[in-house]
Amino acid sequence: MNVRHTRRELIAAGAAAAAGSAVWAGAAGAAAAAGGDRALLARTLEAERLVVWCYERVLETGLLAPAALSAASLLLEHEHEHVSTLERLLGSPASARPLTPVRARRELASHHVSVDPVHLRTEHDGLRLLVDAESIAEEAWFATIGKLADGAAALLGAQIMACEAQHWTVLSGLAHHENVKLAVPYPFVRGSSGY
Amino acid sequence: MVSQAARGVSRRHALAAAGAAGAAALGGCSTKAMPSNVPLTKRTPGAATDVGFLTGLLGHERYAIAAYTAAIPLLSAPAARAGKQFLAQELAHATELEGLIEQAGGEPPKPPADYVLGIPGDERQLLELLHEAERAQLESYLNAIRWLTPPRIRGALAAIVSNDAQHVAVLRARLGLPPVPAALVTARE
Repeated sequence: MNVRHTRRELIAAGAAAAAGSAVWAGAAGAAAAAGGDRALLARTLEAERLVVWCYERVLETGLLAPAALSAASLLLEHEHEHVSTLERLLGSPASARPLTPVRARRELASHHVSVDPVHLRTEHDGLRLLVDAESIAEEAWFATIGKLADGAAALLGAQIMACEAQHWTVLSGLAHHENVKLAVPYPFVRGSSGY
Repeated sequence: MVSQAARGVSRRHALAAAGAAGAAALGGCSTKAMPSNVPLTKRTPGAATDVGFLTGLLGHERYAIAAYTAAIPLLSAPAARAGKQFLAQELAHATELEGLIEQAGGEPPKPPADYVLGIPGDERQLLELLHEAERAQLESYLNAIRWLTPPRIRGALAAIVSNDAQHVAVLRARLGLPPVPAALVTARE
């Protein structure tokens, strides 16, 4: 390996990445629109919409105590940003067909989520549903990033996936009294496909 | 524990601990690297460039390993528990990277004998040191993901950077900062 050459490449790549970080959406959008990445990103958009539905469902139950309520409200804002970012990228209509409880239950069951979103009874139920929903998003992004052809789209995916992992940690911490072994259990985040 | 940390940390102490960490990391990782499930060989197009990226990432992982090893004995009990958990995960990341480097036809470099970790004076400064080590990792992984060649490597690195982002969230919370400050992890947090 030519070390000097590689260092130059690294510096150039790092500078380009830093300069490009502000315009990632445009760069990723151009490539995604042109290639098979579009279908991959559309599938992750569906996962993100399911996550939003879960947050809205849990928040409307009124089961969350103030600490969890405050955290979940903020995290929902992030989820809305993920959805709107992907919609802009893909040119999807902002008002996609809304998820019904029946469809959401079916989607969650297909990911082996055991919590019934229609019959939440305790704060712990709500937090478990949100943790499971975040796992679905992590899994979707992990699978997608490993297939995307466009580097800028992969970067965007990694930025969102890392945020979902942080959400997972905050929610799991709330559900388990900030036990760090349960809030950050595994060295590799791959979502509900297993660690 | 804060005052104990303030008394206990000196540059010599930190460097000595970090040197030991480097040795421990080398002993714990280098000979145990296993091929990952990423289809990567030295004949994969772009493999030589990817080795350069992966080697840079390994350097950041080793710095974080040194920082955690030096800081853990000086942290209060709850923070030390988190630190031990994160250190074990950083060691797993380093092992994964060493495996990928070898798959791509490279050779993981020997870690330096010691690392400059500064002179943290109390628990907050120790946590800031760890936060900065993790933030630097996020930055380097995000840069690499954009430029690495085979998509499956990008997926493997996304699994690692997401775990490092979880570390950042916990460290930020302990520092009294919002654990998840934005909808996209940018490494500026």
